[in-house]
Amino acid sequence: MAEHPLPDTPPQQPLVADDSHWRRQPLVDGNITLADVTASGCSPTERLPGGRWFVGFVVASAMLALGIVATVYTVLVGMGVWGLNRTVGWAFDITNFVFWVGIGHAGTMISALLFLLAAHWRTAIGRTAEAMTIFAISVAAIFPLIHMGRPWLFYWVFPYPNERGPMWVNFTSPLLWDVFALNAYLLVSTVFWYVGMLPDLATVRDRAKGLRRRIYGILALGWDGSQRTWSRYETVYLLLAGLGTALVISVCGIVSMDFATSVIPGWHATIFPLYFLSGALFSGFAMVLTLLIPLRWMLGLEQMITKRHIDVLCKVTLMFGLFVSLVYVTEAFMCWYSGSEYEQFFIVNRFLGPLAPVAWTMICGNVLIPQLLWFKGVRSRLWMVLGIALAINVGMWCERFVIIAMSLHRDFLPAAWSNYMPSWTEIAILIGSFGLFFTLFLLFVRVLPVIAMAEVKSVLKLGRRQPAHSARIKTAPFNPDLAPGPATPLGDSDAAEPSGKSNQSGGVS
Amino acid sequence: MLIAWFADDADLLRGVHASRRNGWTVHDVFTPFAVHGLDEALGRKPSRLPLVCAALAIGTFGGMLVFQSWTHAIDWPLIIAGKPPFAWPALIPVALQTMALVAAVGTVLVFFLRAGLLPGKEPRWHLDGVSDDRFALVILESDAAFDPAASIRVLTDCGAVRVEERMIRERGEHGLTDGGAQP
Repeated sequence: MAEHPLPDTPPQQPLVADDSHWRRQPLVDGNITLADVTASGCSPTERLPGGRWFVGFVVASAMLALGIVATVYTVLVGMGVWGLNRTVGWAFDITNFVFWVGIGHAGTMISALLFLLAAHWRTAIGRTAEAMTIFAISVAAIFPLIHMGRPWLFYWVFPYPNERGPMWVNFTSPLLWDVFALNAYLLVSTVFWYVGMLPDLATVRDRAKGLRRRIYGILALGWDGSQRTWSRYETVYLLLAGLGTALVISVCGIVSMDFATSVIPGWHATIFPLYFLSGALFSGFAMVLTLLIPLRWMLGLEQMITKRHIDVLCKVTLMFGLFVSLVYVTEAFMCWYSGSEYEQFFIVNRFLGPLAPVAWTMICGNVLIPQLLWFKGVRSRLWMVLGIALAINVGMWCERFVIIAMSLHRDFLPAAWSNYMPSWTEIAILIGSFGLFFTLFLLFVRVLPVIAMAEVKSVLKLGRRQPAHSARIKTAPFNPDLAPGPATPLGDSDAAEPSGKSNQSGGVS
Repeated sequence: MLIAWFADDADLLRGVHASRRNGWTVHDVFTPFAVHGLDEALGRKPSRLPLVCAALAIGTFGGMLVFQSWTHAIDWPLIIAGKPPFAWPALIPVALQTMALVAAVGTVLVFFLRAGLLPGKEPRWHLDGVSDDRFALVILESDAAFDPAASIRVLTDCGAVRVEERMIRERGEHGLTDGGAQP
């Protein structure tokens, strides 16, 4: 053991007796090590899935099968099998589209925006949230496709030189902005997710053997943990996070423009981009809670996806719920303040008309029930949180329906008013969309590392004393430029490995 | 070359500083996560990938605006919703989305090419534990004055849990390698 400072070691950080200005709760429960993070993150991909996973997978696959049957029936027979009519031209199809796009936004917000804001608590849940985004957008993209009368001509939406003129697409239409926005968002999210996963795929690869090793080896692209690569990786991750955040805001705004650029009351409102953004983030965070609470139970990840994570997510969900409530109030106020009889009728019809039960479900699920999240006792009981999250999911779906179908069914001309009832095919497609989402998610859980292991390892030390092998309190990153303090003895009796040996061979010590 | 394994990122940084003060050539450092302060400790310049991203973004945004304007104002002009043929505010969303897509995917592809990350490639070094819980510092024994025994002592005093000498096997197109990881 050295008794005086070595000339070629950098100045030691003095022992910090009072670290209260750095104090924060550990982000990972228990006294776990880097190797424990690896084991927790990799083991769901290495062992056979348990009964809980199988039950979920069978249910999700059944729902998916129902949706496939209904979709094929729609495409083969025609749009008449849906309950749409001349007045209500968009109902379940576009409701589902906007609902799933909205859910996707929260995932990118957690993994990209919170990364930019250096919110370290996102590390354990970021990968799952980003996966949720990709699967939600994939599900959402199906609806514009099948709601076309002739979906086999879908490629006409892309601007390519053709033999029809050449006929170009209408770039000034929000419906076309959707095409570009959805494609860009899906591809950028997938790239962001995959690049973020490279270090963890390497971890899984290094633990695997045989065919699994080859498959993960192909996916890991030869990642070796080299500092040069890490440095570029961090830069790319930062750029992708910035682009992802910009896309969250712009895609949501563009989807809202599908409605805001029209003329009917209830759609033609300048609050729509903000309305859809806050609603998207609200429903997305509720879906994150809906996924994470069963997930941590199913995979035994309670030490990493802690109650503190759920608590923070509840608070963020409540915050977005308050935004959404404010938007509802603003919308109602503007309808009255405008003095337009059409706007005023629209808001009265929303709550007293024939489809009012849907609007009241929306108010219950989005405004009233989330207020329970103010109470710590509610936030700490996960079954209650799950119930509230499910209520929010239902309420937000109803909100999309209220905006889309209820604004359409009674607009300017009373002779054109009509009612709307969904057909069984539309309900089956809705169920199928949930089936597809959960099937994809369960497959992801089985095959890919759910926790961003590298990111969790990098925040493992926050708020905790240094683990056993060197007895120093480390609460801040090592900074060699600090004023020199007394050298502290290195590697005391707590050290797990003997020091001073050279040329060791064999396994990792 | 000399490979020193550490179990803690602070010890790794100590080892890197010791190496640089002694004038040793640090070939590379392998870590299970990105260690903050390592770039400065190694004296490496920041990446130029943001420039690539910016160039792709500006180029795509401008290019898409030009393309859309050409289709709407020159090639097949239509009067849509009473807008003039060159309705540039309505052309911005598509340009923005395409810009984000091309900038993101393009930057990632350039990153893969620069870092040598391609499907099916194996890691260039056989280093146990660097994707799990160990940090590896690889030092080139670049001249005759290099004293392995003294270096090993210094690194161990910095907290290294294992130090090993290895031969360089070949010079791959992305630098040195010891033959790579065993499958």
